[in-house]
Amino acid sequence: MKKLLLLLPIALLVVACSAAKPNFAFLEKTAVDQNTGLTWARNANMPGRQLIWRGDDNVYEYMKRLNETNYAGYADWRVPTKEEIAKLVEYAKSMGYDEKKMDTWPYQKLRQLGFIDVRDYDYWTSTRKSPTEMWTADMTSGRIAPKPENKPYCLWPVRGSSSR
Amino acid sequence: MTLNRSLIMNGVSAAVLIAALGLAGCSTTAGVEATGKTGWDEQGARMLEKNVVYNNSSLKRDLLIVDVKSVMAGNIMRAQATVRSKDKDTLPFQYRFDWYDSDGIELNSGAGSWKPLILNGRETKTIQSVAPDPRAKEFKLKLREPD
Repeated sequence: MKKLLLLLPIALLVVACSAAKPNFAFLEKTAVDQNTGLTWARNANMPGRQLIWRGDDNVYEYMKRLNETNYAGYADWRVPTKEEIAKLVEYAKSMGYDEKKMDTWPYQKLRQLGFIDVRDYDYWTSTRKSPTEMWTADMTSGRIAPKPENKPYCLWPVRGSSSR
Repeated sequence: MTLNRSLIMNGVSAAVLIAALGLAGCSTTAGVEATGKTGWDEQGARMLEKNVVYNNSSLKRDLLIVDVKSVMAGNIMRAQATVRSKDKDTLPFQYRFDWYDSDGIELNSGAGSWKPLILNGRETKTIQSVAPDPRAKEFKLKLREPD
């Protein structure tokens, strides 16, 4: 009984730590983070090309088309915020990141986890840095940095709220 | 002698002024110009930056550009303008659409022709045009009095 009481705080600590991290349930087209409530597209390169933020054939137009087609049964897909993608990158890095070993880089770890076609490139966030720059996430180094709106980057749609 | 030189100088100055005014007059349509330029807002949504310039006091008095808009048909831009006569009499005028790429270079330069349009008293009409190719990102609707 005493042993059980001693183990209880440790068990609670483990549960608390795991609650902060994503816990993905993979479906055919989506990956649901059961801890945050966010649903990510399972395919991390749905457009099949990089898109610019402001200009013809841009992120906005792609997201509009995606929602019009009710992708995976949802019409509220959006671009992830800086915090949401940073959390995803942080999780990927927590699985043993070593900058000298390519197979430990975030895009590789996320692929190993079950995501499809995560690119070794920068991804858009919906968080603005300046009138001409948006925050982006580099899936090779995990670095979150501002990039110009007129350069093309990858897009990883997400839906839902991370309020949980 | 000094008087003659002064007269010559004044004459030259007047000629230069008249020539400059003449050139300035040729560089714009002596009528109305409504510009629609493609832009994108902070979210990346397409929007149209509009501007209307009246270079003719008679048309300014009689004609109103009510609205300028554009829609995309695939990757081709379509423009529409709504014009209203402020006059109670018949108002004849001519119009044409000129198209430009994102750098402001005119497409199919000089290919567009002036088209006649008549507005009856206080009448409102819409006029439309389709861009010659997908490079078009800006248009100018020019209106002038008939020859």
